[in-house]
Amino acid sequence: MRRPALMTVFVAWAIYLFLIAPSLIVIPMSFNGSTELIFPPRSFSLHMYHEFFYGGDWLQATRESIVVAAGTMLLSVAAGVPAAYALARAEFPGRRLLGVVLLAPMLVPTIVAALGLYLYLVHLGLAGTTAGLILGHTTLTTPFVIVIAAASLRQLDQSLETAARIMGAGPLLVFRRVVLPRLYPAAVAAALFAFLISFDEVVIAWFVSGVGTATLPVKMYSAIHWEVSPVLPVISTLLTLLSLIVCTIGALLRQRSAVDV
Amino acid sequence: MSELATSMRPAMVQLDRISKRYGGMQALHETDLAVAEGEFVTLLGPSGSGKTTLLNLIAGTVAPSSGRVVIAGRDVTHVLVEKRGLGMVFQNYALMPHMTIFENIAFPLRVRRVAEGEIRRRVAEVLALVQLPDVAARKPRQLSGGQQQRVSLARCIVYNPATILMDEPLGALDKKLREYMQLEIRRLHAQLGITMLYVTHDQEEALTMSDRIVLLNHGRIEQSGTPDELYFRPRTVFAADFLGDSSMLDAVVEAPGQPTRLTDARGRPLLAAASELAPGTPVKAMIRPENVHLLRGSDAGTGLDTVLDGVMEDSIVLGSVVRHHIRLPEGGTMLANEFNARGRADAGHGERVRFGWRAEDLLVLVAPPSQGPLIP
Repeated sequence: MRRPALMTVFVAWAIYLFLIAPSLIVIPMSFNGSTELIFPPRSFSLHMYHEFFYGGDWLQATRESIVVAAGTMLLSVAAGVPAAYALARAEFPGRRLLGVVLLAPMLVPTIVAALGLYLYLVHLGLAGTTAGLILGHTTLTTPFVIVIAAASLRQLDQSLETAARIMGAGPLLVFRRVVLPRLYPAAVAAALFAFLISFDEVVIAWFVSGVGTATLPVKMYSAIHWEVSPVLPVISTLLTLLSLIVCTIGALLRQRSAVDV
Repeated sequence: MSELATSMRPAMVQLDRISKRYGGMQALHETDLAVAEGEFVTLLGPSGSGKTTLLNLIAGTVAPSSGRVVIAGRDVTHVLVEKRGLGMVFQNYALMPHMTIFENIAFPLRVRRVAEGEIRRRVAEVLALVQLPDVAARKPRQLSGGQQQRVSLARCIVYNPATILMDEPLGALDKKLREYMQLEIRRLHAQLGITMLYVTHDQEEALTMSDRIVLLNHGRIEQSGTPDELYFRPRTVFAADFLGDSSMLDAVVEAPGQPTRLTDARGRPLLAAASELAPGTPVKAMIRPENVHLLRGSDAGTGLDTVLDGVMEDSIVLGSVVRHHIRLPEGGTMLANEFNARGRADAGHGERVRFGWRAEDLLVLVAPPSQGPLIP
């Protein structure tokens, strides 16, 4: 492989730094000593971290976010992975159309989906509940799960499934013993992805969540709107850290699966 | 075709007027085939001849457009793949990469809910049978191609399926290993008596391994018979051409009978094997190189029915056999084999040589009408 020219490397790093700068700026600001948002901070302290963990109801919102993200993750993987398998392998009329319909939530503007969900959930009596928010987020994340699982399925040698069936295994057994074990890394990656999307999501959560069920992003958004709380950089830092950890786990899993399968 | 006359044994696999059409393409025309219990049958043919389609129709991975599939006396035309009780060996082995060799071979037994102790006993037994007693704990990717294919065979043998289907199982192996595995599969077949249906495009492999060869071309059975029958008594130009080497002469029937009298392109009389074609029919006269006898010096060619002459082009030593290429006066080449021997004296390039054959060795085949384009 030819080594890229020095200039190319420089430009690439410059662009990268420009993109990542906003995420990095919040880190020093989270150690800000004053009660105002100033950059660069004049003094440093852990005061705002204390504020996050012990003051107000930030932890309550965090807990809500985790519950919603975990629920969304489980639900969308449970629905998306088998759906991807059916779309990739089964022959039935309307298969292509169903594929498009299942991916449609990715194309619909989030604000439109949010409004639709709100009206629908109100009708079902689920508006403002945790379950309602989980359902809402699941519609958003399932297409991503399907896309990730489908990409992995395309690389799986289908003759293994044929071999298993000829040996007498029914479709469910083939899925469980032959497909799923090899799909496992992709399913975990999809799960992490779904978790992050849900944890980050603000538009649908804004519409659907109620007073007691506001998620962390919703609460942050209102905080920016009403008070520009100095706790925000702390939350941003923690969120960045969470993304970093989840992505690292995903990358490690992918690396291991490349060696293993 | 006399499929049922082949054997008096009960048919393990029977196809009645089965056919397959993909859109506008007829992959397989209406075909009958019966495989007797314990028989080793090879489906041989070029790519696109329908041999793999035939195998898939039996396996159930492809649904027929018409006809019936009967396995072990049961009509399975509409029976699911997993309920047909078959085994299959694939070219790419199709071993489960996430399972150990033990788990791979145990898989069909677990599907059948065999007891754990019985599973351990039977897996050990088949691993010994394929001469890989020590690999149970390994993963497939830690084995060589030949070893993986033996595991894949063991995985079939272990649950004693009605028939083992094999789709070019040795296609991915190098020549030496392939020849070894051919004998290995033969040995297992003889030892276990399992019915085997083997797909290949390699004529040598078919000749080596089969009890019976079914030759396919353009989605039809061209000829079916023992390797000897196909080699020495091909019924069509395609069959003669596809199996083994041969020389073909253009000729016209002068008088049918035993022997048949033919006239070649230059008007010379040729004596050929029995045929009932009408006088005047254009034919291809086919002969195998080992049946063409070179005459040396003043050899009168006693015992030969026809003697011609030509010009020696080349002699190639193939090992125990020497292959002579003789140019015919009307164009075309006659191949003649001789056993190699020390002190052998070959005619030089460009020398006139005489050669001849016995009438029964020159086969009269109907000249094919101009064939449509080969299905790619």
